[in-house]
Amino acid sequence: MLLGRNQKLHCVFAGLATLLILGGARWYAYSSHIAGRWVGGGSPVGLVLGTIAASIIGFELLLWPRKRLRRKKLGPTRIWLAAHLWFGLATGPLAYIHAGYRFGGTFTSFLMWLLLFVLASGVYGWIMQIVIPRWMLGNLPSETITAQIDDVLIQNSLDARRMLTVAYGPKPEGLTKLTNLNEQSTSYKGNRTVRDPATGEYQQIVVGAVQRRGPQRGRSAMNTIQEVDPADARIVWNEFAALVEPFLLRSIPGLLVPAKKTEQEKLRTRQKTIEYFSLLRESCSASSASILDRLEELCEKRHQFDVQRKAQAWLHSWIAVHASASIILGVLLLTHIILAIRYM
Amino acid sequence: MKQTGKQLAARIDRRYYLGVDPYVRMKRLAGLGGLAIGILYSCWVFTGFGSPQISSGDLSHAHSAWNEHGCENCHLPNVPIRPDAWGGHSIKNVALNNNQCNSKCHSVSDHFADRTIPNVLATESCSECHREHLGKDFQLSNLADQSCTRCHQDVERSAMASDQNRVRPVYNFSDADGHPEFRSVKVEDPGTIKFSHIQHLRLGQPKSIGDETAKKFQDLEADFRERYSHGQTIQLESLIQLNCNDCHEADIADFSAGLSSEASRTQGNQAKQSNNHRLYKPVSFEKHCMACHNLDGVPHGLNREQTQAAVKKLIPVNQLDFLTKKNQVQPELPFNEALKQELSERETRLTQLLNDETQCKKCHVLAPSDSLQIVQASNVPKRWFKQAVFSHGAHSMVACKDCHPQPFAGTEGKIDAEIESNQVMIEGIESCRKCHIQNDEKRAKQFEAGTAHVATADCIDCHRYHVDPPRENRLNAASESAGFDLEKVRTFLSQGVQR
Repeated sequence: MLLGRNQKLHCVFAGLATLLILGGARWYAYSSHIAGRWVGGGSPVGLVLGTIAASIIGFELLLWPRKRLRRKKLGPTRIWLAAHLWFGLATGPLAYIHAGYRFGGTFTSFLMWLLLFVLASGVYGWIMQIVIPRWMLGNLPSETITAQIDDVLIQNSLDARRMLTVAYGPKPEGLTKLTNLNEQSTSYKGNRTVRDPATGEYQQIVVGAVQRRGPQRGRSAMNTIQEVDPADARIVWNEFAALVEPFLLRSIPGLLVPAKKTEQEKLRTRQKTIEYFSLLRESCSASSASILDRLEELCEKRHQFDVQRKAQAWLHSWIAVHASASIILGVLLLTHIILAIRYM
Repeated sequence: MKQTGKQLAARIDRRYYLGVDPYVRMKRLAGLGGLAIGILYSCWVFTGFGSPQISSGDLSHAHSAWNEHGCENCHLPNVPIRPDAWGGHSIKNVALNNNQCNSKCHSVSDHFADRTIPNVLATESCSECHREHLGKDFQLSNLADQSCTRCHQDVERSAMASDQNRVRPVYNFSDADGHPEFRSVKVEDPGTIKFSHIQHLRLGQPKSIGDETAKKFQDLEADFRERYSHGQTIQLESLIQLNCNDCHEADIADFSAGLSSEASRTQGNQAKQSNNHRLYKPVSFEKHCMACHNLDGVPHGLNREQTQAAVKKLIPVNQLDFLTKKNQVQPELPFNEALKQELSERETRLTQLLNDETQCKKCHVLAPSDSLQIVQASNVPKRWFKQAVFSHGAHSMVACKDCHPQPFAGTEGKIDAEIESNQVMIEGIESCRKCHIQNDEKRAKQFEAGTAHVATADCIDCHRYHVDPPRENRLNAASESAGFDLEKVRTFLSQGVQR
């Protein structure tokens, strides 16, 4: 959810929250002036503000079960979220005024600090949800579904193998073993392109998935593999087996990737990847350039996927903390209500 | 060989969304963990081990020993401690809580229970005025005026019908109509002593300025000269100047010592400020009057019979002393004749003293001739403000004449001591308002201006609440008016009192 959109909606809820806070503060100041001292939570104004704050907290907690009840049509999510944000922020000042600008004893102090923590984590998450998606949009063009990153990497690795098989033939003997991958799709045996001597045309090999929906909608990426120098086969296969594929498949659960850590350093950063493939191009003939470009592209995607994972962690991991603290807050709030009634 | 679109699409398992996202899983686990933590902590709080956590704040210094364990010393379970608490306000509840405090430690007295509507007092709780849980340094006796004015500004609600005409509403101290004039200064002086402060504070104490009867040091006996010199060199021809402290002695030792005549009259002595010195001792004839008002050896304060016997004892003359004196005064007269003359004069004088009572009448109102006492009781109040607590020590930086300007009037001409005696020489509320300012800003401005002393104007600066006998009586009244069983209450409390 971006603050840029739905500004009118946010203005409404922000205004309501502000009115609530200012009204409560004004009433409290007046009551304290009449009483000649700062009134506490058991006074009429303290109780009303405390009840409002507790009701808001209850409403905030309802956001989670609401997701389960989407079919009930409980109102647009954006309205719920706007209310959740602004009324949630209002609970801090309301609770503080309710408490008479004091944190009180151990239990009430813990409750107040917990509330502040929940608010802080919520604001943190709010900021994350504004900043990170925009950043990802501009900096991770190869972004994919996070849960599918591992599958995409496997598919990329398989596509790369097919590409090399088509270009250079099967992997020569004596080179590093490839990772054992299970092909989930129908087996595909790529053929090497051959030049038809009669027509001089090259047979095109499609690498990667092609989306065709309706009248040619979607993106199709087709790389044409031209005649390559067979002398490059050993070099390219060797580098692919020893370095590139292990790099693509590293850290995927369930895969035993044969790779030396010292070798992995060569592709650890984007800059090193660029340098590595520059050297590799110098080692190979010009005909292998398109193959190497494709391999470099796959490595760049891997880099982007790594960054995407981190960004997703920043974007989503806070919610566990926020949810947990909110639940604790809700339970302790009930306890506080019972205790307040008991000893009021 | 090309693959079909379907074959290519089949490579991707599109049911990935059916699985649980790891972040969602993490959130659920964290939520369950939070729920468990919250429930466990709450259960612990409700047990005795965690009960100190419930406190809404540290107790004041006097009760700080109960910060960890001791809630039951003041709180009853499920019973509010304050009458303004929602959901539990009733006379019975508040009265129960009141006794919880009183029966254990505090035997406090009530506030004019015979003049206050019983239900109003019965709903009063200790905690309504004395707020706890506000930290160790908080003063429990530091009460806001609201604690007092909530009843005193609406006397119809709180005072008995018989008392409502007498009690005036009070809103604050500073406003002109916020606090009535002091009742104690509006009455006539009940004292029967005829005394002129104006005369006595004049130089030499003459009845009128320039009067030749003005007192000089040479008129005093040697024993008294030092006392009235006030540290100055004694010159016999000098007129005597009295100051307030010569007659009005502080109720604690060494308070007045060191105060010069000028200081006590005009400036006060801030270094001596002390709340221990509240009032002044009653004036004593022997200490404060006898230096000038000699009764020829007749003791002061005797009744008629005692005075007659004393006079008779004084008539005989010590012949040796008389011989010495006669040779100095009347050397030509034979001893026997002189002695006879002296005895006659003495008898005449003392008899006149007894019969005419001129000396007594000078300062006292005579009692009926058939009474045993010569004069009426002096009736000088030891304390003038009956409903307020006034400390002279706390006001030591204020000069006497700032609050008692009447004795320093220094009027010309003859003084009528009788008229002056009927005056209550204490200024009213306006003199207090010069320094006791309620508004914080005004007080600060006056302090900065340095034109006068400044002080707060809280009700508790002068007044006290607990003035009646102990509270048990009030509970009786409350039980009668509320209709609940007092015996059951006592039984319940006695069970709760046992530790």
